[in-house]
Amino acid sequence: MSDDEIIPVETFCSYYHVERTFIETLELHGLISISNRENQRFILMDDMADLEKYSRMYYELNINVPGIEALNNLLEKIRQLQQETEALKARLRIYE
Amino acid sequence: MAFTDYYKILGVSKTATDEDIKKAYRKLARKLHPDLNPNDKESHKKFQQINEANEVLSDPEKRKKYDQYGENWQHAEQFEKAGRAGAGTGSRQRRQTEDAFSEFGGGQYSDFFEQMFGSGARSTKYRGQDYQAELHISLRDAAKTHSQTLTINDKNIRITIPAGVEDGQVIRLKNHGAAGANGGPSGDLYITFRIEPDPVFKRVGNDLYITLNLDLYTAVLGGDVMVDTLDGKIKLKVKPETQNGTKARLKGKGFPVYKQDGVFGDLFVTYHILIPQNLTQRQKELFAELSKMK
Repeated sequence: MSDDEIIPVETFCSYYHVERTFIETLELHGLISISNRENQRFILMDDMADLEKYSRMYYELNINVPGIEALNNLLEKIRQLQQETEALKARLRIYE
Repeated sequence: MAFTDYYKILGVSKTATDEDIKKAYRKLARKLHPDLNPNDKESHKKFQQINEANEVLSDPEKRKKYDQYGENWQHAEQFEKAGRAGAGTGSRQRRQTEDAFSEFGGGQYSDFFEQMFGSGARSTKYRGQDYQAELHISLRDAAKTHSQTLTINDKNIRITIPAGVEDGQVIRLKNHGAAGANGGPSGDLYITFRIEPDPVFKRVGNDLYITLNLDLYTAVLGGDVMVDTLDGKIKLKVKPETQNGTKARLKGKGFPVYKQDGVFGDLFVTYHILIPQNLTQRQKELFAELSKMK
């Protein structure tokens, strides 16, 4: 994994003004992955968009981490249902 | 520019305490936040309004100015010139909300807000806004890997579109969004592919569907017909006594599977049998003769 694919946890915390424990709790709940390298912990760039979203939910909407996990599952279900609807619409177009 | 009633937007009275405003904002934000309403432009728009209302009413200085000038907010400019120092520094909430907004584009604050309070002296780094773009391509173009040059905000971006891309599929081009503010990173560019319908083929997943007109005689007696595929015409054997609406499946003649070289879906051919018209007297006699042999 190259350096531009990871960001140190400290850097993220200081840039976004979030606590380290928040990142650790998200990791505990399996919402993000933390990579260890030379005694330093890193966030994967692929997780960044999700992490920004979780930070907004936590700090801005006052939703705790188990709540974020539940919401995440529901949003994923909505996404799948929307995809299914799109696929069914495409199938229906055959008969139009 | 219309006056915006921030109290009405948050559903609180003019005497509401800071705590009332915070509560009202959080309640509405949990309902309308873009992170909880992906792809819902109406919710995003409403959230933009409550966010702006909260930005003003939760800041004592801004709230005072808003209360003082109210509908005559145009005079606020003079108030500014009277010696007020610049706007406050960026907060985590404001920056993060802007990030959330970036997914649907557009400014974060109304003209009313910008004129009354200015865009603020921002010392915090802000990530640039994400751009959303739609790229319309034909079904046949989507079947082959090819390059296209897009012009986004006067910048040419060349992208390679892999064969098999789906309608509605989104790809992200990192750092191709708006430039960041105060040294912040650029946003990303999200491109949504829109596959135009094809007059010949219909696509469902990786399979293609085509309707083939078949003359009555070939349907009854069997024979060879030519059928269109994405690679040109191929010969197809029609079985004798083929019924109208029968489907034939041509394995591997469908749409290429996204990012799987050499893997294709199937092509389904539906026969549409044509009954002969304008029969001659002799043909009618022969059909009559046939009908007696039932």
